[in-house]
Amino acid sequence: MDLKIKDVKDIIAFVDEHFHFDFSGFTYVSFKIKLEQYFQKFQISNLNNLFSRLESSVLAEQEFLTFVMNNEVELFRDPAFWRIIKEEVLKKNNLDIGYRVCIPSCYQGAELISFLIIRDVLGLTQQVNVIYTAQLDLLNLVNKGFEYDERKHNLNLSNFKRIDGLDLPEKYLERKNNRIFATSQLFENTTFQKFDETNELLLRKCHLIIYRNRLLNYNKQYQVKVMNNLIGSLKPAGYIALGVKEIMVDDNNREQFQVINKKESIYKKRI
Amino acid sequence: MSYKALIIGGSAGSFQVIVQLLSHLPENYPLPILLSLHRLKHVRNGFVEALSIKSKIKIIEPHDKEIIKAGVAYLAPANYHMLVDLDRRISLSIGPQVNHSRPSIDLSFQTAAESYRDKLVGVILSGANKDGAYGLKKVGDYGGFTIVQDPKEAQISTMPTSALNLFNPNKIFTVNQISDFINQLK
Repeated sequence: MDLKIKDVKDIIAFVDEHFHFDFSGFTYVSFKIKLEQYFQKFQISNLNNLFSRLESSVLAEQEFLTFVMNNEVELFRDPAFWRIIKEEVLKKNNLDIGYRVCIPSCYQGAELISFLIIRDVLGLTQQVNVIYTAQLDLLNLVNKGFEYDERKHNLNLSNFKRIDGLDLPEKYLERKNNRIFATSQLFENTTFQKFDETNELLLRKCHLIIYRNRLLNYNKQYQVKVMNNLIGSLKPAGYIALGVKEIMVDDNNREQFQVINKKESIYKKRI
Repeated sequence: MSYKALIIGGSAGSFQVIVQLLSHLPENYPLPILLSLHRLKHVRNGFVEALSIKSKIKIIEPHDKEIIKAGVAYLAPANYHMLVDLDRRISLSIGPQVNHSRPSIDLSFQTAAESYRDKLVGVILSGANKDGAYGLKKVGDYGGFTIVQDPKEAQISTMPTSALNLFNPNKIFTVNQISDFINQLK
């Protein structure tokens, strides 16, 4: 189904009214594409069918929100980024107990699991406390794992190998019922928190925020709003990582950071 | 007829064709060019440089929300979909692969078609899967001008043939004809 601008607006209004979830700051074109893919996957032919479906159960609501919002695709995406996080941020800073890392908008958890593995490889599980967040509790899908797909899994393994030439130890991931799960030991010193970065600050500031390819979801006005909240949630001299094709669109936001690695979009908050 | 943008999609066998097409365009080419080409997802460097060797036009991999400008060629970055928003900015996405591809040619064409409507010229070149066929059809549906590389000439004909199986484009052209055509656009 080809959705028109009015259709997209009607869907945004419906979701806001029924689920109190605001998509109005989302990038129009990518949101529309996601909606059309949802219509196609579930063979929905018109808006009324969609609305009836969404009203039918919490499961349908969850399925819709996670389909539209979840973009996480692979572990260790951009291996060079993970190499820099490992070598330049985690290893060089002589981390004490209580170093806090936040991974917002973390749904299936590809970024989270990637980070937890790096943390364990470096032996920093006790020192580094990880908080992963989602705007709604029902968007926390980390314990549901990933569907196993040999091609995608091989990509995960080869991404890890590209970080520094080592194979991914088997102990970190297990395959059950055709799904891949991170083993429970990885989640030590790791907590989930409901957090909406479009509207609030984190209660406790972090030393590192990993927010890669999340700004893509938002239009420019919302990107500034989100960045302001993330900056306010970051300790002085803390780091923030964006996606390699994301930039801070606001001059005031940019001025608050020094560039650690431009290519991998890693920045350090000025003191 | 005047146009506002040119979009080109290609996959296996299209690289030399793109180099040739770009090399014949003047530095002050009056349209923006959107290049949605299949590429290795983990190789982020070198593609722009390789395409730029013979091109007088500036070629970039855009950042998200970059404004589309005339005389610049925008190459879809590795492992991102490159979409065109209604305000004619680039919008990047890491959504699921489409036709086993990210960037997906279909998504680039489809969104550019909606944004530029009858002011868009779409070209599908050599490639080994059907990605791009549906997108080019959408260009035609919105009133844009559609060109398919002659499958007889294409190094790998699957992509042009898929487009021809789906709809009748405005033109089936050889590479030289495509080059002549896009050179006279204004």
